[in-house]
Amino acid sequence: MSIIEVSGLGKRYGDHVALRDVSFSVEEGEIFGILGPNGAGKTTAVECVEGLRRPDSGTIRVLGLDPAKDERELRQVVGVQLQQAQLPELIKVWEALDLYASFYRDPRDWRELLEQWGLADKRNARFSALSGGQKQRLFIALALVGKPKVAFLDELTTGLDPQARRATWKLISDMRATGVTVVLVSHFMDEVEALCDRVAIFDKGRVVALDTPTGLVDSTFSERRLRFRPVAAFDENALARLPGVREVVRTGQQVVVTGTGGFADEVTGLLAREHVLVADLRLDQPTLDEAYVTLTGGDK
Amino acid sequence: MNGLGKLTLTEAKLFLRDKISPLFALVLPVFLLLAIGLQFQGSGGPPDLEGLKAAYFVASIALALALATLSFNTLPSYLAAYREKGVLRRLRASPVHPAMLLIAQIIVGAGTALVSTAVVVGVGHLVLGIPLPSNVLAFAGTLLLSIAALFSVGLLVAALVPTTRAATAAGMMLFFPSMFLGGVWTPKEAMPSWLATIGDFTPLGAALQALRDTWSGVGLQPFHAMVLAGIAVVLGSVAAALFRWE
Repeated sequence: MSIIEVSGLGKRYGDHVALRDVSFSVEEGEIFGILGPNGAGKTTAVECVEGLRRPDSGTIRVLGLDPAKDERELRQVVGVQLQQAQLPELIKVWEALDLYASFYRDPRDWRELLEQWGLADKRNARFSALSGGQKQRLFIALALVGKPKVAFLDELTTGLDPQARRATWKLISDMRATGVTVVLVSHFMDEVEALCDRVAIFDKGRVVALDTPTGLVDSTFSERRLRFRPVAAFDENALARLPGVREVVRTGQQVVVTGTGGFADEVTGLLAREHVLVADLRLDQPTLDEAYVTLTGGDK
Repeated sequence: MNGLGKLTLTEAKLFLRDKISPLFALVLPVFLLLAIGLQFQGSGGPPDLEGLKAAYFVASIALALALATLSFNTLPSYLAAYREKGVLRRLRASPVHPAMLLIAQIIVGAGTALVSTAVVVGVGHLVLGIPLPSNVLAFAGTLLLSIAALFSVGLLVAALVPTTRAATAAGMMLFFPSMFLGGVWTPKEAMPSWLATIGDFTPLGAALQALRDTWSGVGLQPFHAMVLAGIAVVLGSVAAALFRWE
């Protein structure tokens, strides 16, 4: 069941088109990633879905609610962690949770959230005294205090050190395990690869690709490269006739075979039959990173 | 407890925790009243009519300090900081409208003004022998009207300034001239009449005169009531129209 459905979303700010014809849907229980360069429209799209911005065109349904009309009801069922939002400097951690819990019809016990998000010993600390990671965890806890069905997390781990980022990933996986659907806005490839079931890649206000992380890599790179260094003399031209091989190039000692499908098995099979010993055999694995750069034209 | 109640309680705690605002709004006014008032009293004897006038003047300085601090400094700088830091933005994403935070701030500020005034009136009566307002309701009503006018100035500042720093600067720029025109530095009776007239049109000047009048039993002058109500309605509406949440 789709928990979020967005179709034909458009938004402009003066001459700048922030979103054009953006459509996607998020299924119940998944972690849905929204990836893209700065200014690609990620945050604008998510803020339209959250009901914080009004789109110029298109329709949005979140749990069957229209954010423009049913904002009050929507607020009860979604949890939001925003980019660049703070709390009053002097508020204590427990006060913030207690305060936000009072806004919801059926809040969670915030003491549990304190434990779960590792804030129990910071219970009486003022917001201004928290570290970046602790502030982020508090914001996630605030996003979850209303028992939301969907949580929106925007640039969650920006500014965190690598350890804090990994710890946060773990907690997001746990969040999904409790049945919360998560929409994760990010520009970190490793984060999206590690967490997301499906990813929409935004570029210049459009969705340029939407698939699983592996699906994105596979569909972007149909070709792969196999590299090796023959130990003895060897006529590489025999490889060019194998099925799936498109190109064979020798540069110095190294042979690079480019091809599609199961060409790599064909190549290694031939080498074995011919008793050719090779060193440094390696199949290039394109990463989501490369797929992303190709899709968003970042290499230009 | 519902959203607004909890917000108000939280804002009250934050206000007291920040120490500077309560110092200026609650502690210094009483201190000022006693420091200056006891000097006046040193001349001895029960206050005659002139002495009473002086006493009301001293008491109005104390009230002015509390009211001006809360309206021109505390309110705009809190709200500007909440907007600048995204506190209001975060609240928008919750089931509670950020306007509730504004209302909570106004309740806390008005409550502080009431407490501060009650303390000044009480201490003034017990220590300096200043009579209590003969018509408490008229005095309280005038105080509320004054708070409405002065807070709408603060809200307008909060609506206009882009940053917390600008709010603090604007607050200072309002604070000192208002104190002067309100007759705090120099008694209005000692001012040239044209200057005193200008003072009567300023929010703090009109508020102080109206408070002195209702306190001393002269009664609220329609002119001051109209100035205060006009300021509250006009500036309050402009502030509401211009206020941005982010």
